[in-house]
Amino acid sequence: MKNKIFKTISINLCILSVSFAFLYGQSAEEIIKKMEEKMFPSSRSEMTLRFETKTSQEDYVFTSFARDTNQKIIVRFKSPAAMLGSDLLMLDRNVWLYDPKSGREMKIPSNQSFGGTGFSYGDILRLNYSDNYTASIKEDLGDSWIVDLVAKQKDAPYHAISLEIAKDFTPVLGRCFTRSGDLIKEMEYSNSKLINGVLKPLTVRVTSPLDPSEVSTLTLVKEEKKEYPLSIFNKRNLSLKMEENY
Amino acid sequence: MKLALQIAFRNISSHKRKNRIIFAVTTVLSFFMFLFLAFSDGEIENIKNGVSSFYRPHWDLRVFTKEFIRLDDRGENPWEETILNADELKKDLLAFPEIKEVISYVPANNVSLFINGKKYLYFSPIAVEKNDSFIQSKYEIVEGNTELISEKNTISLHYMMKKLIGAKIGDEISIVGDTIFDQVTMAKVRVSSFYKPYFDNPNLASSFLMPFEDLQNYVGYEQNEAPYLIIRLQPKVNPEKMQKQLISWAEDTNKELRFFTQKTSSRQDQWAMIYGMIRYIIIAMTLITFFIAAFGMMNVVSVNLLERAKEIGTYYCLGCEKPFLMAVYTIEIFLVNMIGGIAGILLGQGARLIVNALKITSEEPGFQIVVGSSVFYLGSSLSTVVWIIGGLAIITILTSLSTLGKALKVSPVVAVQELN
Repeated sequence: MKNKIFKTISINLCILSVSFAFLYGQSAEEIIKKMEEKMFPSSRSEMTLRFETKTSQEDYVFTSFARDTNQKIIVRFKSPAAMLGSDLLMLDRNVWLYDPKSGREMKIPSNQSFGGTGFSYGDILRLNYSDNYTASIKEDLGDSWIVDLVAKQKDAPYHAISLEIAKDFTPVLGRCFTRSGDLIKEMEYSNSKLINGVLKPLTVRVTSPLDPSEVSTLTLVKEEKKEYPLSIFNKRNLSLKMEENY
Repeated sequence: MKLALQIAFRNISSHKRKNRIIFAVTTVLSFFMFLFLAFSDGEIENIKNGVSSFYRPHWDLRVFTKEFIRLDDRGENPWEETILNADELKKDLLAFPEIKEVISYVPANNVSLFINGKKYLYFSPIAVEKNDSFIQSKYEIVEGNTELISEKNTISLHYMMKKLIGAKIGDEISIVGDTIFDQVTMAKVRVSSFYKPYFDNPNLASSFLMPFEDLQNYVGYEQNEAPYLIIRLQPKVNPEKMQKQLISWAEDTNKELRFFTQKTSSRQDQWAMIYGMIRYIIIAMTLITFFIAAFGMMNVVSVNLLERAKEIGTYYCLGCEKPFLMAVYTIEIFLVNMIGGIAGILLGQGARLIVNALKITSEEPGFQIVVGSSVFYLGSSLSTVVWIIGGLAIITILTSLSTLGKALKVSPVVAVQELN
């Protein structure tokens, strides 16, 4: 009898722990998905990027056209003049840069620094976490979760990211790690404002412990919700600019 | 023909003084042409022993997976298609007595170094494997740990980095870059030594040596994994024959592998191509100089033959015909030119041996770029000899065509005319 009760309890505990783990894992993915829906809607967005060092400051202004929670993005530069026409496309995890001088598209590493700033092309174009990373909740801090993201493929921009997400599904702090476990970049989200009826942080400040004097700040200036057709997200469109027709 | 040759030889010995001038001019010309081309041969040799040996170490055969080649041929990224059991495969390959060494190869992108709070861009890591005798024969350690391969988590910097970035033994360095799969990667290492390539070049100054396993891990590969293997054969083993042998071995053992020799590889050595192009420029310049000098030679030959009108008239009196005389004088010019050319080449070889024995070296980047490495070396190749002999042959033909037609227009009467 004792044995039977023990067996029943054990089985129930097993089922409970498996379901708990399953639900817990599910919720981490859900948290990420909800955060992405909030942060990266299909839209046309105006953004600025400021890169500051001890001695210099550079500003970039660009417009991004995104769909499928940042899985497909076109970025068109407005300034500086040197970047005009050097537009970007992220498609099937590949980043393409259009060279207006040769009229050709070049595949570039997503990890390549964006004009020498603290951001890489991947930071701007491959911000789709659910597509690139497997999520699990590391800690529940009460008003936020710490979610561990581990790269699904070897070509994700970072090997792992520890992302703090507020309970309203907005990111607070992202810490990016290399395969060796070293912290390489910190992304601090701030300046929460209502945009399209959604309260979310509009500024991301990127720093690296390797060079604290370099600070890059990406700010969302304007966001217009829009569904762009799949047909515009191709290499040819980097020169055709068909998104202007929608 | 035999008679023409005999007469040509007789003419050379009976007109020694006149032919000596042509001989001297040809000797000097081919001597300088030899030196120019020897300089170019030396540049290529220096590049092969210097920069290329670090970035594209010597190989006789390379081993890839079939999938790697398929993706590469389609222009897709092949670097994920690796040989997963590299160590076992190496053992199998080393069982062939014809194979001397099998080395794993891992590519690496440019990296940034963070040292003493400062960031330095565009450095290149070079993997050194324990059993890679080739790469280890290309440098010496000039300071720090004298082992040719640094310990785990340490690197050997180029000796110029002491001056250029102020690096010291024991300094901690963060190497930041991206894996071969474009993922951010970082390694924290210490400087254990400074190395100096025997054939140094400014392009090697930003290269540092790293233990193979560390670089393998840094670029995103697991242990026992490599995108391809390099095979070096025992001396006198024919790579093409070995390739056939290995292909049938792979088929028999159901291994999805492909083997490439230097001849069948589509990947070219960029450095050799650059200096190969410079060689063509040098050849073009020397040939132009050669042909300018040829006009002077034509003039000398022309005057020489005009002075020998009586001799030509005598040949006509003896029943010789113009085509025969054309052959006689062409052979004469050709022989003088060739003897001069060979003398120039031999003198050049002598000069080459003397210059190389002087072991002229320099740490000046400009010097190293011009000569291909820190060592001034004059090389020698069959192509140099072929170019000189070919150039002289063309000059002979041009001289014959331009001078003989006019010079042989002599009346047989001249033979019996009294000359003042």
